Amino acid sequence: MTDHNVSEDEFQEELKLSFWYRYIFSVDHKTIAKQYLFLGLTMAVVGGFLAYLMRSQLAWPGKPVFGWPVNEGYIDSPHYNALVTMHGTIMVFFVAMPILIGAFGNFLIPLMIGAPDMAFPRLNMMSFWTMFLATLVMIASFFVPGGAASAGWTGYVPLSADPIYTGVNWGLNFWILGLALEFVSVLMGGVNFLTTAITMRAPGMTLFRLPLMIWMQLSAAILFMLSVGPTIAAAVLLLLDRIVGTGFYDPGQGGDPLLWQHLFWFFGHPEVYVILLPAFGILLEILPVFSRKPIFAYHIIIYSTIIAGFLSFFVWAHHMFVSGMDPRLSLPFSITTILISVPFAIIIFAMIITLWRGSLHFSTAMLFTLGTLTTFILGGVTGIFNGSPAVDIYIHDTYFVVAHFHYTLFPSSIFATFAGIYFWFPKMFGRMMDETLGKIHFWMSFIFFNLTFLPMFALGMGGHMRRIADLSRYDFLKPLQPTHQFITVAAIVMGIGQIPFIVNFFRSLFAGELAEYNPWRANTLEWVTISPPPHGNFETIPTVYHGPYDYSLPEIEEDWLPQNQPIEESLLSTLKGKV
Amino acid sequence: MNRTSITMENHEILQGRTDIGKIGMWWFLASEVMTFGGFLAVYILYRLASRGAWAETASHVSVLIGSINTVVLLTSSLTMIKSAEAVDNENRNSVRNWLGLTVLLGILFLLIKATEYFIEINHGFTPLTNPFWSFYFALTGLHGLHVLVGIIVNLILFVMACRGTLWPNIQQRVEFAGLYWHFVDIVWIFLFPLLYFQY
Amino acid sequence: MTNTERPHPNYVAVWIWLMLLLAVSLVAVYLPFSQGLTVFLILVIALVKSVLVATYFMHLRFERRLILAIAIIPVILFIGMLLTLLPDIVYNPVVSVFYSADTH
Repeated sequence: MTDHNVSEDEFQEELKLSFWYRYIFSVDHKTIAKQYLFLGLTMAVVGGFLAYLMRSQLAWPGKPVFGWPVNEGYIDSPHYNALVTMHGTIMVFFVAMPILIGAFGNFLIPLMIGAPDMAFPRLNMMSFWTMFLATLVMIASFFVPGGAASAGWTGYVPLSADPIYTGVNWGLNFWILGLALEFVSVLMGGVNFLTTAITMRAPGMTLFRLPLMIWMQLSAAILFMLSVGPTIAAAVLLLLDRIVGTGFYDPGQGGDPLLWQHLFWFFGHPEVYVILLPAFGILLEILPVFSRKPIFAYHIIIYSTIIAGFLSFFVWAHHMFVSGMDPRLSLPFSITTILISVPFAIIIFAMIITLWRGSLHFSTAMLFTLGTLTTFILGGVTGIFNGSPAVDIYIHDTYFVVAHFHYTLFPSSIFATFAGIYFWFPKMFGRMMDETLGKIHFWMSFIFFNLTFLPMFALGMGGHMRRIADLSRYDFLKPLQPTHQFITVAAIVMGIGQIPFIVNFFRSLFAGELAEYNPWRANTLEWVTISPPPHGNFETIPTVYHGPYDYSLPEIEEDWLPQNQPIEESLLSTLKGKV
Repeated sequence: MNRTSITMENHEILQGRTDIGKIGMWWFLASEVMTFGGFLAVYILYRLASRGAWAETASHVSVLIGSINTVVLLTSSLTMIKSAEAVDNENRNSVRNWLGLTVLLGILFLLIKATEYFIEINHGFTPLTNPFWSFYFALTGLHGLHVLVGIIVNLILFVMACRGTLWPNIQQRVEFAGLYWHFVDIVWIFLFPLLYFQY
Repeated sequence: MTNTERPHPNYVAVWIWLMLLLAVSLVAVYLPFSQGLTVFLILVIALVKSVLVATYFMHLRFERRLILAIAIIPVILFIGMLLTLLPDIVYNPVVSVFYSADTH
């Protein structure tokens, strides 16, 4: 380790690393995090473009869509199905996970726990390149004969098990392969995150002094590690059915199609919490900083997370109430589903109470945080309706569900991402983002997000089915066409509203105001070192004296107290129990 | 200061925290338990649902060959842990010998398995014959792939033990490889009775 | 616990027990029990064998509680998943598609 504070550039010079080892095959967790961020954001543009294509077809069915390169712009049903499938797959696995886990997890875990890097730096590098390969495979699936997978992001059999039904052959095989690679990548990352957080914490960093972001990332990693296995098994069986001709899912050969749904959702449900928890982590880090108040009920949030994580393994069949599964399973699963809303509600309430009587600063990061919170609450309560089998019989597979999961997933994977970017950009890149552009970005995103997805609840209650390409074929849906046009226009404006962000991001990257080491006056350890942190993160590993949320302590003059700053002897006794 | 020394410094920070590799390996094994568990659960469920209809076709697996393979694999677990014990006793020759034995036993397992496949296919039992045989080939095939990976890892360690490059820093990797190998053994401990026995 | 302090039980003794259990399971299969009971017995013996391998060969006996938790929780989840799926796949009163050994 060098014995003076050097910038990343100077240090790389000393190392004389070639371009390849410094930027491409870097083992530094911060560089890897940025690679994940760029990959995820690029795929977000791809996923968003797919959504635009879908929305255009829905709003003006049968009219050519600008930007659709085949068939003179006409999107027919098989292609529409492929768009739906790939939009979902890309957003969940190639946007939300690389950004929330790969980028934020990788960047923050070593910094927040006071470690020089991850436990397995080379494994970290391999996990990114595996994710990159997975992305390439997914994109390639668009260009193979038959086109991309079109059996839904959930890949239900028999639609996905036999090319006869979709006309897609290699596209679906690539889809399975791409997902398998993505799973391997996140598994490697999970091993790294968990081992690092368990063994490499700085002196004084006990488990209950960890920032909540770390707790959330660890919980998400554990959820993923334990839930993905059966889905990998299911995917192998699907691949065998497709390629070798076995009949694991084919009733004609003695198989059971429902088994795929069970195995998929056993993972699928914990998976949405794998996405949600890191998003919560971002919110829980930003809220205290811009309220200048400690997080309310730190310990209870942790226990609630653990309980929710445990419960999340036993709710999966609420996706299958109308699938034809044994009806006796409906009752226990609806009970667990209602139960799981309790710990999450507790966490949300804790977030709200954190704001209460705080000294609120409405920076862009804070605005996105509040935006995430409000929209997520709406999404969360609509989950209760879905969790009750009696109601679910009517709203399953309608736009109500689409609205529900966009009101939960979109805030957590997109708004929280933006909150995190605006908050940690100074630390990641050493420069400040522009706040004005940020606020324009926020209001455009927030307002038009709601205009896009709120009407979908009504559509669903009106009986509008999911995943249909052309509703003009159904008489009872024809009156809803204007609603679709409204939604599409709102969605396009929301898309345009991302331009301020893109401009802001790249301009700040090269010409933003230089950032000091702690522009937000926050307590956690990543703000102790310079922006951006050098290789090895800290000149000397800090020692931690207290928890991460000691803001506005009346006994201290400053309204913040970094974790590595010891408290004066005279104050220690008065503060006992509070820090 | 070069690239290796950065990771070496990482190791210095971690001095005294020798269980980093071990914890990493256990997390990986936890996910593997869920994966093989998923496979096994599907097989068990289907077989139970068949209400005994699979017993006839399943009787064509050879319990004798399966038992021999079980003995081979269990013994290879013994030799593997003996090599880890030798590491702790700093007996470098022993480490090398036990590792070599483990590799040999692993290869023997795969050879026996391959012969078994050959016999079964010649008798007309392929993955497409019926659901039982689909599972049999899929499960043992996947397990066999895991055994192969284990053999390769152990072989690499064996070569390093021969050359002396395991010492002084990375000899504890024998233990981590052992964890993986024992896991593969445990999977077989479940596969063997579930696939080979009559019920 | 550093490497030099780690205890090494008698591995050969464990191996002998494993061989014995293998023999027991070979015998148990030929006893005239119902299918469900046979599966249960088989799984129990397999469980005992794997517990032996895990406790002694994988040193779980001597590891910290965290590692014990990492090892045990997936097993519990696997059992939970299996039990939850039994009503739907095996004992489903509505659907009985299954499952002759013949195909197409």
